[in-house]
Amino acid sequence: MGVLEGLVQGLYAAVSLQVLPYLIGGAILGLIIGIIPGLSGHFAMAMLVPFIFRMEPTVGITFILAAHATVAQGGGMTAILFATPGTGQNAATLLDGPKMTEKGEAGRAVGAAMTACFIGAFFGVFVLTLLLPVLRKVVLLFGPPEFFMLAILALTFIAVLGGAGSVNKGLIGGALGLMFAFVGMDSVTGAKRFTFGLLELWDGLSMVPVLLGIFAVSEMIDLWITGGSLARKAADGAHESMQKQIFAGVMDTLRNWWLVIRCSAIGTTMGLIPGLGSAPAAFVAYAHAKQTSKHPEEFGHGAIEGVIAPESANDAVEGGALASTLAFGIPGSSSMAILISALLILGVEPGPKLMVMHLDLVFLMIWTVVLGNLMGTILGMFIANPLAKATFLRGSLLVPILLCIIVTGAYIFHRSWFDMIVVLVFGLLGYAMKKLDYSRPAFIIGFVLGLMVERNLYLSLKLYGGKFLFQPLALGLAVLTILVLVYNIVKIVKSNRRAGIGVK
Amino acid sequence: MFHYGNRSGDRGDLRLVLLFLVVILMTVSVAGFASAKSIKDAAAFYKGKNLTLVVPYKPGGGYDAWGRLLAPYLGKYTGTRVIVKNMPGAGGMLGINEVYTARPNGLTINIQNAVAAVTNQLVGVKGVRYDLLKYNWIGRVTTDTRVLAMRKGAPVKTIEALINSKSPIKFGATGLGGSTYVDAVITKKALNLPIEIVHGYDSSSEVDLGLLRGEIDGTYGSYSSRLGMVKAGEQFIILQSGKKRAAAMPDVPTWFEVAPSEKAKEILSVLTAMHETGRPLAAPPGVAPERIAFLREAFDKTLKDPDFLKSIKKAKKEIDYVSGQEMEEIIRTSLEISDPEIKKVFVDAVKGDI
Amino acid sequence: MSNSRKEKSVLQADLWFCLFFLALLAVFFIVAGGYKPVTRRAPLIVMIPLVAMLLWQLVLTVKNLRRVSIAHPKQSGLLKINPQANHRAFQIILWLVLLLGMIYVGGHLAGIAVFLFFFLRFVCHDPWRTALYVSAGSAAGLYVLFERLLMIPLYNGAIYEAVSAWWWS
Repeated sequence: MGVLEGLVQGLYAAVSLQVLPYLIGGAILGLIIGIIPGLSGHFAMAMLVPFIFRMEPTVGITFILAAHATVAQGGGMTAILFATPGTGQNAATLLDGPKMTEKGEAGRAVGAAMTACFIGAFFGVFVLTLLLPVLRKVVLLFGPPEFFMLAILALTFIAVLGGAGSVNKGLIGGALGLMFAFVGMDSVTGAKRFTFGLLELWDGLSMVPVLLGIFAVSEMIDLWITGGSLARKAADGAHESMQKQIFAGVMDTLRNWWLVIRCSAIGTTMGLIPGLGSAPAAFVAYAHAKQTSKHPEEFGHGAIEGVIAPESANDAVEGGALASTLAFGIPGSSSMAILISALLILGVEPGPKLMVMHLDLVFLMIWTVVLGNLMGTILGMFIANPLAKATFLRGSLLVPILLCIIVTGAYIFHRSWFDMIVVLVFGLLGYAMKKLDYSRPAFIIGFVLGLMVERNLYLSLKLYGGKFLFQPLALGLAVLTILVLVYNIVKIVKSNRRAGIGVK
Repeated sequence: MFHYGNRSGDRGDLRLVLLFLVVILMTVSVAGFASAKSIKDAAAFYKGKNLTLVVPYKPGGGYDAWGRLLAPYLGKYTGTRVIVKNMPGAGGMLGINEVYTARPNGLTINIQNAVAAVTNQLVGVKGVRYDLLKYNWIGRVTTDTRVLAMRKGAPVKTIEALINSKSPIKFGATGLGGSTYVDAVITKKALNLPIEIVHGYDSSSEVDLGLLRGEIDGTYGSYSSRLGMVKAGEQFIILQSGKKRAAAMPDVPTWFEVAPSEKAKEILSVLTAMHETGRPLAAPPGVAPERIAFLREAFDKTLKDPDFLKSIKKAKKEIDYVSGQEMEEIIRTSLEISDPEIKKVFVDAVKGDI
Repeated sequence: MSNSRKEKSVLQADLWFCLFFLALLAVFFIVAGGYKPVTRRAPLIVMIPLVAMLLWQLVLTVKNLRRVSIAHPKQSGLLKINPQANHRAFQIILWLVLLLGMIYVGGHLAGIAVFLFFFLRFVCHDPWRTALYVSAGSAAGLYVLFERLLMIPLYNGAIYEAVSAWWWS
């Protein structure tokens, strides 16, 4: 089956009467799941898998993929409006999104984010399809040494640009994150590290409670202490002009199209690499946007690029993950693992054979992601209005309610008691870090990547010995890391000197 | 028979005999009363209730898939609504611990990675709060045939070539103490394989990636997990587990065929016995026997149900049924390693000291 | 709060932050001493630079504190700066702990309903009705969303667990 034929067949199947309702239904469900803090794309897939057994394969796959596609969009909305990341992918949006809400520009941020999500997803999935033959060679270029260096690069990048008070504080943030990542069973020797006898810590701290604590609970604590509401400036006429704002946001994204493409590329590339996940991609995109922006000092205070960049990246990541999953049968992320098992249960086998024998199914999946995202974008814009109104409620009302939701969300992930305590503890830590200007983005990235860093370090040493750094790609990444570090330190020192401030 | 002589002795004897008869009568009636609780009573108990099937792994994995495939049919034959509850953690042990200490009313059961459970109990891993000998076994769903797979361009093409290889061959494994690791270590010792085990890959997919990249040459895995790659031509199988060759792999030698000594065969027997435990369903200790009998019956019916078998086939899975009673025996065998030297080999293997 | 006062309180907080983590790391170091070399390698690689960076931060903070103290010797310490903020901070932390406790005892739905009711009534001084509507509404919303729509069982509370253990045995 030719590519063009498969493309058309896939589209035809996606909009067929049999499939379309499930596509829309899945998209709506995904949006809701994304909005609820603590529930992620992985969860959406896991939860819906039991339902698809009784469906036709095409319908079932469409359903779960559509749901998965829109989760990041829902999460983006809560991140912007309520400073609560719906999922890990939206953590980076927390850096500028809430600030825009504060300024009364919530609608603009949401509009921009939704559009960026859609374009990112579109890019990720389509460009990847075109590159499919070359993909294999690209993916195979990345092995343990490259994973290791990539993680270090991402970490450095974010530590430097993550909005900390100083480079030192940024790096401290990242290092703290790494430290907490080491708590739990060590995959290399199986030893239990830093668990202090608690069985709950065997698998380490779960990402969702830590994420929710560090970013969401801390914001709630802050909001409570300082009073006021999420939208500080209840700009007159802001309610009516919400639609106008959303439209303005859409235009913003389109105007920044080059940024969107670059960030989507970053997202897609990181999605290709199994195990990295979408949170790092969003942060790297953010850091990149800040690095290349003409007015970097606006980042962290409500710059629209700070919303566009991560949101285009996080949806593009899933496109990359989907591509490598379908092409190799190797899941690019945990949700992809579920997709593979769902496919197997439905009798479809992912892998190179899939490309040859079921190209129409592949394109059906691709179109589902695209159309699902489109659906999510449109729906999101409708929901944004009523949701945004909630941000004008007074903090003293909103904070307790949101705290209850956040705490519940933390529990749900593993149905674990302990996770609720984790949320609180990290909420306190996050608050401290926020007030003292330590980099929380670096922290979360260090936390997410910590084990990956260690594992790949060990594997690299085992496979190539100490010389592993001299693998061409790894070396290149190492050089890049040093360059980024040096460049940014020099920039900061220079600007400090210019402003006559002592080194902080 | 009671020759005690004098008269008072005879009356004493009579009383003794009477007492004896009364005791026997009472015992019989009590026993009869107890066994009056039959499978029918159990069926009545279960009807309309929720049966929780704990899966000790995240959703989307193999065990989860099995749980979800079994659920509707178990529900049909027990008259309950089966709810799959994922309790991942501690390498599958959390779910096994939790159900072991669950309320023994028979409404909570689990599916287990028995191989891991056995090795953990054998080695005495801290955190093991269960005793497999006390678990109530409902039946075994399937076993995994273990295979040794090499990547497409590997320097050795057969097991003999591997054994005789002059340079060490790199093997990939996931976690320490996991099945890919333990299989590799044990067979390395038993068969004198010149392999270097690189463990620490996050998952079998990363091992696959490593194989594709050529940084490692081979790995262990279950037949079902390797099948995808084998069919795609990326990997090929050179060794399989078990006492006789599986129907699907007639040309691949088994471990035992290439074992160089009796000792090696003994070690491999133990390993094989462990793998025999496969993926069983179990209920906590203390559940009333008629409920266990009822669950076993429902399980037997499930595994024979034609619709169930159809859905299994569609999912490209295979069952390897064994009843609850047989399962008890298998568990017992797997935990008994009489030779202390062999036991040490296993303990060291799981701990990663080899 | 004038800038220098703010600065001073922030600096002092920073000081405590660094000291806290240095202490925590000390504990980690001691624990790590008992691990095998391979196990403790990666954490050590991270911990040692971290300690260095924290110490550096500590030095900078102390330097800045001294500078600020010299400029404004009369300013008081952290805790005395803003009693209102401290009070609210203490309040929210206390209530969060209470929230967890209530969830533990009564389960998510009941715990959250009770928490919201009491919080709104006694901390925010909202009228009875508002507190009632919000807490009942939130609990209902959570119920519909989680138990019905998503079919995720929420924790039912220690009371429920104890009762049902007795009921089902």
